[in-house]
Amino acid sequence: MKARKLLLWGILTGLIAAALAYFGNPKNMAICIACFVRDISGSLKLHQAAAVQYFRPEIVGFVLGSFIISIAKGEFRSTAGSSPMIRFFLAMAMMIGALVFLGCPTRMVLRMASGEISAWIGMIGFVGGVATGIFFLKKGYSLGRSQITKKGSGLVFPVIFALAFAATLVFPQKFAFSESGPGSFHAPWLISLAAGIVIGVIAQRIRMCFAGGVRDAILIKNFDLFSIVVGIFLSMTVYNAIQGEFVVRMFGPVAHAQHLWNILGLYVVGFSSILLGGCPLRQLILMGQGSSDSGVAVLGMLVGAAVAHNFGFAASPAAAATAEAAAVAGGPGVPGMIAVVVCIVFLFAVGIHGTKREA
Amino acid sequence: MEVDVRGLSCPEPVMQVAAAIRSGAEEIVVLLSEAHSVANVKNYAIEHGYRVREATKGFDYLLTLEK
Repeated sequence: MKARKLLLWGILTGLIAAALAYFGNPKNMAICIACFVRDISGSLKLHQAAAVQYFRPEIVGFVLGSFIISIAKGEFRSTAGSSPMIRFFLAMAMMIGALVFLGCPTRMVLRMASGEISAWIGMIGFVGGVATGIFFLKKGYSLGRSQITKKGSGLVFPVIFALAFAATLVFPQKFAFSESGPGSFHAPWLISLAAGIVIGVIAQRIRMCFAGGVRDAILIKNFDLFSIVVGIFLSMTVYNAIQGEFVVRMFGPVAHAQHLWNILGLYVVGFSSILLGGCPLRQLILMGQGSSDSGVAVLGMLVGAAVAHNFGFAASPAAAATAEAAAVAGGPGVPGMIAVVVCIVFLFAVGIHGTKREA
Repeated sequence: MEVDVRGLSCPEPVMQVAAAIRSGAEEIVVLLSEAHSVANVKNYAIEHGYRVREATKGFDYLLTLEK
């Protein structure tokens, strides 16, 4: 597909994200994958952070959209076996990095589109992480081949995920739902689910990937995937401008301006995305089209989110001073800082391991 | 020349085909397992002046790239 056509698909995706923000999703999160997986983790009571618990229908929609369209197009393949346990921990690291920055690459772009300088600075880390991943790819990095498996292996996660979502509608009292904070802001569930399915279909067809966009631009000078990201950025910027929410500032709601940790958090996200073969969104889409390896990565993201909150790795948002409270700088605490450094060491270890040839 | 990229994660399929193209091969047969890799490899080959023929082989895809 030509870059110009992909730009239009990106713009359309951005418009859907803007619509979700309009209908009630947190404004500068809209469709943040890391935030929403974290919310689902909370809804399942894997962590107890009361402000971020909601079984986000968008995430279910992304998986279902990819699932439906890949079956319709004959592209569904039940595969597994490309170092699943390494992928699990790579995804955990990806999530921890995202929760130190407070957002995945999707939210980075959405925050950039609302004028947040901290997100633009954080992007340096994301590009750096992708570049480090490319260094290992050029050295021959691979997690090995996946194989065709029994159909059930690819079907089981999308089906159970959809059933779990249905269970939140039938037995809401069994799940946790935020009463205040970001988790309490959401569009009506049917709109969220429908929007998620549409984006899932689009993302599967055009291979939408935030890390892939930067990777292909650097690695093979191909700007196809990158133009999708530009499209999303453009429509969110216009939406923010119309809504009067485009304000050049250090940080917006649920964000912080600890630049070093924004850069390092996103460095972990970019690096791990390349080692995994795709950003958080791409993992959901690949799982929908039958990859158990990506399914394991999604589990890693759910657990990573839980660990990040249970052990205090996630950054706290900054806040300006009010009449009642002093300003809060926000950012990660010491445990979060240590976690980021450990993640970086782990990613280098995986990178080096992946370049070793095995029989 | 034959390149088997079945089961490899992105962007390994394109990188392996790129290496084959750099080696100057006139005809490259690529065996793939994922539809998205087919699209990537096809685009890359066309951009580098190859004609591409597409076929399927059981569960897999077969691309023949010719200069």
